Amino acid sequence: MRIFLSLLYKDFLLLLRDKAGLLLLFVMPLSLVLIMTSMQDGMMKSVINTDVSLLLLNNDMDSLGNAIEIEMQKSDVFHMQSAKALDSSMTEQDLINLIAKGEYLIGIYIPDSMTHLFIEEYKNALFQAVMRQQISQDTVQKMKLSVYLDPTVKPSVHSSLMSNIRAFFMEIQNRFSLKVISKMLETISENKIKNLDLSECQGITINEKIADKGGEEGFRPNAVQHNVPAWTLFAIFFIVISLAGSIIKEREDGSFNRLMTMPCSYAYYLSSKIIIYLIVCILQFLGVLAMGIWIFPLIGMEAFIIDGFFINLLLVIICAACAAICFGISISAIATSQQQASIFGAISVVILAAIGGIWVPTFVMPDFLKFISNISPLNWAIDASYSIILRKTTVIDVLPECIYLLTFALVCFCVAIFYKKYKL
Amino acid sequence: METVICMENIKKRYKHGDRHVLNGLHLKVHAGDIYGFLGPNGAGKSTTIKLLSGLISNDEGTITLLGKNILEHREQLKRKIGIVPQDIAIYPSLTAFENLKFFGGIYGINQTHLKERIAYLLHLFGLEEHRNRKIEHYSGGMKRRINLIVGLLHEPKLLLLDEPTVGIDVQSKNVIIENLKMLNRQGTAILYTSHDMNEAEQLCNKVGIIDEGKIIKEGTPKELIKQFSEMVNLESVYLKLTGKKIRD
Repeated sequence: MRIFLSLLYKDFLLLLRDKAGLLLLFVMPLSLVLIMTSMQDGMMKSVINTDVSLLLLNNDMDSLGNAIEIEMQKSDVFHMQSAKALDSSMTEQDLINLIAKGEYLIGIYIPDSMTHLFIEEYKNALFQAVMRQQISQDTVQKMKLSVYLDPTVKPSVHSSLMSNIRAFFMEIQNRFSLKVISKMLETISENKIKNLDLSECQGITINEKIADKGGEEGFRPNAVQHNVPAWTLFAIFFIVISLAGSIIKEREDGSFNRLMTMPCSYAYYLSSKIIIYLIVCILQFLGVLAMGIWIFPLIGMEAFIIDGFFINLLLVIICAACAAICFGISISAIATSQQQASIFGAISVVILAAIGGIWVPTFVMPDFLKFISNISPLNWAIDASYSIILRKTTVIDVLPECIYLLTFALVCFCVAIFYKKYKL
Repeated sequence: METVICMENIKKRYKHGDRHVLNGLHLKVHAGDIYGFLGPNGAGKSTTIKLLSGLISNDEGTITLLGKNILEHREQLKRKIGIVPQDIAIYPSLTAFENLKFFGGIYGINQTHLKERIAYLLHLFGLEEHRNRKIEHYSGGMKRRINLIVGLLHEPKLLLLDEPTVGIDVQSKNVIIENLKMLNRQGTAILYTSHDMNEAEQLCNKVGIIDEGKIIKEGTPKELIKQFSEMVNLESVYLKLTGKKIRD
């Protein structure tokens, strides 16, 4: 016990005196969580709320084109600028050039006579149905509205914007077509039907809710609930660099060998490191948690909600920290220099994070990556954390993930022990 | 006289090595000896120290320390042997006192006794005023002295020193040599490696010259010099025996 306490004393002092290391261990996770969460929060807000700049060239200047323009102006998603207001002689090519230059994120071109063609199409269809008349195929082909996107828009944002635009046009088109049909029905019925306005019918409305076990009304996970555990785990795994570096430094300066000539076993030596770095991981987690709860609301972000699952989440974090620490120990045993350990440590953690679903959810990954993600300790840790925070499960439910993490830790620890024996 | 180190027919070859680093080494050090273990680079000195420290194991032969087989009593022997490596194997960001407190704790020395022992050794080596300074702010000589003190904390019966005076000034070297002599007088046997032949001649009552993994000559410095009539000191004997070819 005396030996172990002495090792803890030494490791504590070494960590305390390493100012750069402390910065890396404590400031890096806080900055990472703060930056990544506010970025993702901002990205969600930009797609959902406002500030998507849009240039609309309305060459139709009739009821449908004008309806689109008016609705666009009212929209919460788009910040619309009328092209005609900028330059009355603007052409479709001018609009394309402005979008390509990045002046606007989206450009919409409404062609000449779109309202007329639209009404003609519906008329034809109705007359064909009622009077057995033919549809003019030409009108269908001519009625094309063009949407241009800034080439720098990322694919994920692109699809999100396009689904917003499609939903928007679908709604206007439905309302307009119902209006046209209502009027035509009045005409066809020879005044038997009066004041029919189908466009006012509400149709099906979608009631979107998060499946919450507790049945909490209005519960909606936000970017903070997703990002705080994800980036905390990422930062915790980055401990491998600091830990492996500290072990290799002791090996390089001879103090490790000296310890091995004393009544101190390798397992004792490593256990002391595990305890000290486990405390560091817990402090990292508490720091990030405190920031999520108290600092985020001060800078306009939603607060991290921890109600009732702190202990459960802490247990998952401890399991993940054990996995990260033992991974660091195994790297230190295999690497021959501090530089090698830092490069390998950093790259391997980034890969484990990528396949583990820290950046992109695993369900959108191709099948082979989905399969590989099952062997990433970061994936087990993030799954367990989300289960606790978002699905509100208990520790029993995430026990398999915790066992995987601890088994991974044990395997890494054994690799370090056996590799040292093999090297001798 | 009691034999404190007995190495018999020791052979050692490293995993990826192409030759035996130790090739039938026989070495005996007795209580009261300051044994100078001398040899050119690559002769097998450091490997011998590593074997005696328990850091590596020999392929063949037997090693007995303080009358006990090293393989069977490794942990017990670690408490009785002091090892001073060639590297300054202490923690630079810790103070001298913190380093000594830590290493003393590893030997399981009682806190009160440890404090007294630290104070005594710091005084002996002229470092008491610097006990609360970080090692990184020490001079080379001071670091060497602290490096040596770590090996003396638990009052070992046998002290293994791997070039303890390399790269330091004459004053620091003198303090170390004088204190080693005093420790030896108090009953500590010392095995000492060095490339400084004058120092070895001054300090050791017995020297062994190792080359290609074997002791090629052994005796008191005077005996060795006497064996070669044309030689005037240990260095010339050493060069005669090991040759002038540069070793890497």
